[in-house]
Amino acid sequence: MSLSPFSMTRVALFAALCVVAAVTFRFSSGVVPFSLVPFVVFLAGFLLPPLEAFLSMLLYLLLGLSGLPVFATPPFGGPLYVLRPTFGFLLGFVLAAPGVAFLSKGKTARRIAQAIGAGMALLYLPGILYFFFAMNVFLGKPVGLWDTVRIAFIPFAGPDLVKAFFAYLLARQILPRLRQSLHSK
Amino acid sequence: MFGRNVIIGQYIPLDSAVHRLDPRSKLLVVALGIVTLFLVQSWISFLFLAAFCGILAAVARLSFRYFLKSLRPLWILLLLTLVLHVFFTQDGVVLFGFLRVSFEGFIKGLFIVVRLALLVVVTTILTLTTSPIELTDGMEGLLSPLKKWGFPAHELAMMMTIALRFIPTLLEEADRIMKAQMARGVDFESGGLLNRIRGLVPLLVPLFVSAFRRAEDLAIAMESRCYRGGVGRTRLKVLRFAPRDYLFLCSAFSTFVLSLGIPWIVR
Repeated sequence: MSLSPFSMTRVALFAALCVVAAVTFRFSSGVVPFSLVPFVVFLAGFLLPPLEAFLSMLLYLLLGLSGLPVFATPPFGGPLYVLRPTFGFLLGFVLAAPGVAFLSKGKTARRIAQAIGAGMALLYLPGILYFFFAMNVFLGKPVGLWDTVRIAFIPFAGPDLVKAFFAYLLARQILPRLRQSLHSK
Repeated sequence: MFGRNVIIGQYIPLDSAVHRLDPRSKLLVVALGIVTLFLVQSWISFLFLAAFCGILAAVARLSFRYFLKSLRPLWILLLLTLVLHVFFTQDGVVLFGFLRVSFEGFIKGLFIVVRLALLVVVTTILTLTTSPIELTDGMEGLLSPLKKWGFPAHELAMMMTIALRFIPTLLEEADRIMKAQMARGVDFESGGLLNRIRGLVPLLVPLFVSAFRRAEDLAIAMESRCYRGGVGRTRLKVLRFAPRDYLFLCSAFSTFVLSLGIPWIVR
């Protein structure tokens, strides 16, 4: 695989945006944090091609796992973040961004709704399953599947849908301006 | 501006033997140390690993304060683990009514707490003594054998470095655009939630457009300097294993093996 410098810098840009979103808005409430990272995930989906969207989220994940404090919840980074129950959401980001990118190429409202729905599913399914798995298998705090959904899904699904919708509105504003001001693309 | 010291703040630039170690050897030892920490089952093993961390921290001239600081965001998790084990272990002594307290649970909980704390200490030593650039260089070095099968180790490390460089730029840019729009009369601070969100549009749209342009400028600069990935590229600072790296690797491996084997030797 060889990436053009144009792809590389865009991927790096969105990984950096994720870091900025995670670092500047750290209000943690309970176990699963409120963060603006999903907003950036959806934006990456709407603004980048699928491969670049995927790589940018992967890069964000790797930055954090290599020990830099870039995640939203303490300890903010390091390989042991894999043990946090919310690590699944980070995997969800990596899947959701290319999913949205893949589906959002159409312009119709139905296509956009599909993209947002698929993005939410790709974000939350790994998140919830990992949370359930982590709590029961290696953290030794048995939680039922329904309780997991109640802790990790219900309080966040609404805000995340709103974030996804705003991301779409913002992307719609940004895209025509990009076409004007960039040489490539 | 907010956030910047969060990113750079972890690394403490000192000149110690641990700082001068090759980042590849540090990354390797940390990865193996984490595996060891999960495999060990006895207190004596922890003693060995803790002593090893202590020696490293002393050689690196890191004060105990830094470790307390990195443990602070985790102390609720640690306390909760301990409390849950004390109260929810099955073979407890009934205190009153339904409440049971288990000494065995306490020991078990303490074991997990010590394990998590040591994990934090190990990774903290790495991030305190290794700069982000060294970390990405080290990762590229360790992953480069995978290049044979088409794994983009160089590209990944390059993108990590670029991303790190973009973070302060983005924060500065956001700050500048915000001031520019305030000078034009945009109100970021009053009104209801919806108004405030709408107020973010004149900040976010130019921010993204200019960020994309910066990314493109950088790509053009790279292309015009004939950047073509890692093939045949030379670097200013070549990572080289020094004798101290071999000494470090050997001592770390022997500590890990010893801490895994000691329960059988002592028994």
